[in-house]
Amino acid sequence: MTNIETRLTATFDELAALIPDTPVSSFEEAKARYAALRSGAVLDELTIQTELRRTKRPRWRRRPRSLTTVIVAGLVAAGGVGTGIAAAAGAFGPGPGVQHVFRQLTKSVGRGVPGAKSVVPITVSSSTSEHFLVTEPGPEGTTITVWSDSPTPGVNCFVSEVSEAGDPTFPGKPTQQNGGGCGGAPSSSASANATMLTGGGGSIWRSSSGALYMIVSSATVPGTVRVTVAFADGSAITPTVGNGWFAFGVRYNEWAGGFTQTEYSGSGAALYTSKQPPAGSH
Amino acid sequence: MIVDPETAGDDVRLTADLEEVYRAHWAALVRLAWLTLGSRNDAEDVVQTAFLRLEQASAQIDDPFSYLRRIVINLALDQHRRASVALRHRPEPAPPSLNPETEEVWANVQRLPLRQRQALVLRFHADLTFEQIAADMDCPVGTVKSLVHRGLATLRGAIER
Repeated sequence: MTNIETRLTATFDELAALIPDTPVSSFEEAKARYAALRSGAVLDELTIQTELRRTKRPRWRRRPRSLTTVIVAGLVAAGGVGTGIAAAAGAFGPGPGVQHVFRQLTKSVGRGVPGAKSVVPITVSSSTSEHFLVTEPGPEGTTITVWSDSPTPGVNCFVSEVSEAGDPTFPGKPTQQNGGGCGGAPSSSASANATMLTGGGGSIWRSSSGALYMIVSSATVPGTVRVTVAFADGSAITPTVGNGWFAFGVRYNEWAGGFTQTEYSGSGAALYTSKQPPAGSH
Repeated sequence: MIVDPETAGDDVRLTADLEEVYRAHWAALVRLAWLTLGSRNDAEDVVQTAFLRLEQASAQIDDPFSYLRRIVINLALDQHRRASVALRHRPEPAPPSLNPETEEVWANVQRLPLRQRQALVLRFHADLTFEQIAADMDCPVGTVKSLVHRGLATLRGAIER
């Protein structure tokens, strides 16, 4: 081998070693994520993480949320997509898994999320800024809890969690976040205009039984007191509305079949209707 | 074997086999695509698409890795063409910390035309023969030798001057 061939081989070897030996998810999970991503059918166009779900880490090894909760944020205030992303990625140095989720979000964000401009991964480092928004029974005996968080001034986020029975939940501070998303404002100069928490997100979550679910958390339009979500198979749910938010969890296949979401005022008037086609149909 | 005629209608069997193939070959394919494209994001997209095509393949495939590798090589070409005319907004993971020698070689590799890069990656990373590379790249063996020769010459000129 010549010198250049040796150096080339060594370069390829060094770079190749940076790719983990095993994928972060199964093929079926990856396929579901990509399908969700292509569909654009999530309520708020945010499709997030399976990589961060709790089942990856044994209970006894869970670290305090303040250390481990890397979530993905949708920005609602002014701020360039590129700069927001680049700054955040550099600041928090997420690993490949987070980067992967992060990348998915950048493909989908900005369509249908009022005011959404960009996404960033952030670390929730303070519990003092968290405020309970709404809770809802989740799949397989779990509880979905949504709360707001302002980890730094001007950054408004929402965080959703799926807790199993017996897990501490808000306001007792969950020990671990299963997945979630947040909408807020970028830090620094663009943050001043961010006063409202809007948007929402959906995350694919796998239960301990192995079933795939879509966990959706969403802000409502002002004045909403009731929300219905009707699925293609004829079933419907009426998730609790609290503090302008609601959440629900459904089987991934049911969600992927398409649904109609309607938000009603106290007088019964439909304030907002959104029809989502089956995943992958557009 | 991905599609077994005797179990072709058995989704469970098919899925299980595909999961096995996915776990076994995902990393090698992402590495191949990444070294070729220079983009981790694009590499993962290309590999995911390749597995989807494998899943949808109706023919019997005896060597899924070779099949996937060829798809990845072709998709990388497509991706490269698209990337050259499209604005790119997706953030790449931060560049890894490499030793200076590696960085120098890597930077120069990325400046090579894609076909030369592919040939070099298949030869010096995947350790394929010229004949295997020719089959994967769907071109004559002589073309592969030429691509490798020119790629090495360019690198030699840039690095060993």
